Amino acid sequence: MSISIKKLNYVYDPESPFSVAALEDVDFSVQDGEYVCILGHTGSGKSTLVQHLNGLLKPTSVEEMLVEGVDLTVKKPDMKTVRQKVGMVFQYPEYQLFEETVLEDVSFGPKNMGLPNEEVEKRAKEALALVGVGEELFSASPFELSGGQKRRVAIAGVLSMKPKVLVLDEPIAGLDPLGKAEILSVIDQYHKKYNATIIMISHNIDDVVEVADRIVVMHKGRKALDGKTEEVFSQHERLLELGLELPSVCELVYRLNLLGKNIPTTICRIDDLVQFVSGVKK
Amino acid sequence: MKDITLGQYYPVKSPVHSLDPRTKIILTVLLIVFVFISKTFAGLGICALFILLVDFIARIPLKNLLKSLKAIGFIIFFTFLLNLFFFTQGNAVFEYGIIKITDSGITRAVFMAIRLILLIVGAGLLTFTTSPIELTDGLERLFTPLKVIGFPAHEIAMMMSIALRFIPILSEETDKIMKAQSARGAVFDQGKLTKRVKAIVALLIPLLVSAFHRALELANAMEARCYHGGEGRTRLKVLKMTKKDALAFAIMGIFCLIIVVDNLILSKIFLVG
Ligand SMILES: Nc1ncnc2c1ncn2[C@@H]1O[C@H](COP(=O)(O)OP(=O)(O)OP(=O)(O)O)[C@@H](O)[C@H]1O
Ligand SMILES: [Mg+2]
Repeated sequence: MSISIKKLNYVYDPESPFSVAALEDVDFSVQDGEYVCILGHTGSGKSTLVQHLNGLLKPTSVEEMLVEGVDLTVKKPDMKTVRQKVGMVFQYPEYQLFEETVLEDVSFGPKNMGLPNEEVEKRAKEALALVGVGEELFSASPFELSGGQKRRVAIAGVLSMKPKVLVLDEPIAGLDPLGKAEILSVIDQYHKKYNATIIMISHNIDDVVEVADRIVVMHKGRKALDGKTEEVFSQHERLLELGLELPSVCELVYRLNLLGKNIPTTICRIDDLVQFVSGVKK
Repeated sequence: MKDITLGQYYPVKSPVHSLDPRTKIILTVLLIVFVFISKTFAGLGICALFILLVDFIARIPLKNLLKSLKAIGFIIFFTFLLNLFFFTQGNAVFEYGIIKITDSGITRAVFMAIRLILLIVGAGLLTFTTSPIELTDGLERLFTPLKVIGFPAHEIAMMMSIALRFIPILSEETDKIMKAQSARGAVFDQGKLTKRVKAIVALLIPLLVSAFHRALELANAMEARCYHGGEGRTRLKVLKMTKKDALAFAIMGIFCLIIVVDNLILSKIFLVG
């Protein structure tokens, strides 16, 4: 088990006139090597939830919270280990760039881990290769890169720490279709190469449906749905109720079924639909 | 939501909150002046009662109001000591070497400390009941007459409101960048100095970069919408004095009168400092 959380509660600014109960009794567990996507309306508590995974936020109350073998419920949790095991890519991560050169910026994480210099450089170069940033950019200033390049360098800055769990908060927000596909493929490669656990928040439901093994839907600080991708997306009405869009394929299936067709609602990926339709025609 | 927690503003609905900011600014200045000119403990007592009364009407928990003293507790304490040790008139109650504490020294030290506390708390009433935006608005209007002598009232107010607008954004941004760098193993609050300095650089550079970005964007957005300074600009929210403000002025007048009377009569009998 990679992550196991029971009854997590979190309140922002408790005891002030602005207090917000952002999470209420949330259970959240993830298996090793799983690819989980978290969906939910804006303000539903997705970012708050994932920031608990590496101890950036401390629960207001929780029954159990184990992340990669580290118990986060104790008074002084082993932060150093958690931060190494759980890499976190924030929304618009390009804001975190600060070094003079791309290579140095990507080295920041491994250096903080206290690794020897050769290892730091090796990891930085590996990570940059993985995200597809060529050697000619290693000594460029991160501030003179294009938006898409910045994003990739910032992600490399997290991958260079070789986290066992990679958490990404809307990693493809604000990118063009090609840029999105590139980032998603980087994540997928990392997932497969290191059998890493991936936890991704995204509003791009059509992308999510293609990559995720499992879907968790948050609603008003509570977990509303949790299950295999096909299962969750087969509950068309429930998803619409929760204010979510359906993936295009599901939408198509939903509308066709409304017209009296009889297509299994578990079909949510393009490939499956193609197979189903062509299979029926035969 | 968190945007408005800026400063001390305590957002509840109360008669004090709904006063015109200009009224509150003027009355606060008056209050401060009268705390200053009170010469007796009875006078200070009246000031304290008055502040408590306003605080009660404004529905601000006393706890919060007193919290504003925390930051300057040291200064109050220091003033107290200075007065205690360096005021040498009166009868000595304690002598040791060059240290001499007198009875009027003690009275004076206590008096000064109370006066300082009342000043801070009294001024606090203004910031607790008036949002920063209202404050700038009120100040701009109050200073407008000074435009004739070239005082840039509008420009200063605009700068203040932009600065105020940016504080929550910057603090949010700081929070975000700190989290992002912490996730990369930066440690801000412990460890070797060199490492901490490095962590702070990792925070400051992105913060500056984004602040400049935002400043440029804002300037462009303002120009694109034809901002050209204060000349001929109308306001969305016109400040208006109402009956409530008149009432507030009247109450303040009575309070001032009491202090004056107290100063004239009681101070003859029991004079401090
Ligand atoms: N730093 C903060 N201080 C106070 N309240 C906050 C803070 N961050 C988030 N909140 C509140 O907590 C709730 C959950 O916010 P959160 O950021 O987790 O939502 P989200 O699901 O990530 O939304 P989005 O899709 O917009 O990113 C919201 O009501 C939000 O207003
Ligand atoms: Mg979020």
